[in-house]
Amino acid sequence: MNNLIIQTQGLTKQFGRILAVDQLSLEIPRGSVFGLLGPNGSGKTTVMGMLLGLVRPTSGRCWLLGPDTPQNDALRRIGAMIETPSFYPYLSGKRNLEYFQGILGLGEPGEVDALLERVGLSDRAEDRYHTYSLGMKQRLGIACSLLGEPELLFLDEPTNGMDPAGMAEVRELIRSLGNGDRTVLLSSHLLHEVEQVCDSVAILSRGKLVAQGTVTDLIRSGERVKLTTTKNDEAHRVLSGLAWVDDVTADGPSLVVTAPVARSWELTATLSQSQVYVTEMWPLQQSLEGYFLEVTSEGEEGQQ
Amino acid sequence: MPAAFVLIRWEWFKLQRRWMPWILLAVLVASTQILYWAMYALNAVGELFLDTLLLPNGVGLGLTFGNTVLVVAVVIWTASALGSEYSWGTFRAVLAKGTGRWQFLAAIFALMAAIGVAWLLVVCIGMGISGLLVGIIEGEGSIATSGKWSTMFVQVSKSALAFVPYIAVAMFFTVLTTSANTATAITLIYRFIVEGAIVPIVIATTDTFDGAAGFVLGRAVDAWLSHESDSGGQGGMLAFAGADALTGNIHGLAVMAVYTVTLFAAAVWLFQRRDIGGAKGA
Repeated sequence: MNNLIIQTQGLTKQFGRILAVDQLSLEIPRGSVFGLLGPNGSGKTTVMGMLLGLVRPTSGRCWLLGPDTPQNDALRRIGAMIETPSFYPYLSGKRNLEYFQGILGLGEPGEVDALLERVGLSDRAEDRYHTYSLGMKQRLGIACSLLGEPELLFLDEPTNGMDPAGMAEVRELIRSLGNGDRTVLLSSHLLHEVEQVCDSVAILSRGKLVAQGTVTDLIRSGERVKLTTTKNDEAHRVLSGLAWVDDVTADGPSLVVTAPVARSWELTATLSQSQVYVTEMWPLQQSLEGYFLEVTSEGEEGQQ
Repeated sequence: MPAAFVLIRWEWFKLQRRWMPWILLAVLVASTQILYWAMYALNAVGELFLDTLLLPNGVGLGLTFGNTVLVVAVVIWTASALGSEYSWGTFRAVLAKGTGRWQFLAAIFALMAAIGVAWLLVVCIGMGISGLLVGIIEGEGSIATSGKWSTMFVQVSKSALAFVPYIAVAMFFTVLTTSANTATAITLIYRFIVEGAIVPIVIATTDTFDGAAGFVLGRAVDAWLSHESDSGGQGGMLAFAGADALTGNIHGLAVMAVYTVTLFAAAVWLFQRRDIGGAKGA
């Protein structure tokens, strides 16, 4: 069995003069929660739309559930909630789910009630959709995406409009959904949320893939150490010559060294061999947000 | 159950819960009944057309105006059913579930045709009941002396096909404009202004388009409804100048079929190539 559940090759979408997605090549393995990140207008929803067959790519190719699975067959095994959920306003939440279960031709008779219970909408199941709050609409969208026990879930900003308690519940739900063989593709601008929920992420900026990897690796790749020494100029020269140090910059009376925090002792050892002594040293904690801002600003600068 | 029937079944599950089909049916029945009883009132004054009001002629009489109202209702309902999917953004949810695009349009088309036929039958039953009532009121017996049941069945059968091309017209304009209101307006303007007024004027004032006149949809429908009709014409309320010049109901049926197939195919072609976005709002 192919271990990749989503694969794109040179996927490109142009809307008139706007290049929304540019030569995107992405490989997403089965059984993980994968985050698709990017600033507004970076092409996340367009990528999801192309994967779901809603948006026609200008060029490039994409596969879901392996290259041998026809798109419509794949879509029947996928659940998706793109942007704000769309349902029939004159039908109740329950009737909406029954309709989608019906056209899908999958699922057990009691599945709709069970899903409404799971997302906390049982009390309002018989109320018309147009009476729902944004948070309730999101919950119904998640329930709909879970119809038929899909192998792959697309969730685009699933906690949008929810209160903090609801957000925490949904994060927990997403985390539990990503256990086992199911894959969740999560798009969100809430980086704190992504950091808590996702195993791996891809970061888009202006339609281009600017970074991809596990959350841990990406955060580690931007690790830095701030230090003050007895001779900063000499320290700058010595540390810049180390192959495993990515960058050294002056920051007032200190130096900021881009290097793995775990190798801090090697920094001090190397400097002491050159008769330079560290007087202060502390790690700079990198967050996914910091990393995100760094790579997306680089991406934007690169295109200006 | 084949996929097409599954889709039709679930479209009906959804659409029957809207108010619009029931309101349109009420308007259809009310308008045909009002016109029928207005004719009866005229008859009471002048005693002119009692035979045309009794069964089975009464049903054909109802269809003379019922066909036109039916076209309007079918156009509004088709554009609304499809256009709402755009305005609510539900196309995206439906298609993301793996529903084929042409299959979805085909299911809506088939359902609209079935609903149109059901509306037609309700109108006919209403006319039949009114015909019986008139017979009872007048004490003349329930059946017209000059009527033929076979003619009534032919009229109803022809009417059941006459509105179908307009489903395709409304569907095409809805997909083209992605708006129920715009598509309804364009289709009705095409039906009543272009076909009903401009085309007859052009044909009456110049002989340049005589050859093409037989291929105008409205004239083809009128020919299909009128030709070889035992009751002497029971087409729509709009009389098309020179309809009798058409070669016959087979020609009318062929033109209707070409319009239906071509416009449905064009709607599918366009729909397959369009990107599907979120809700557009009403």
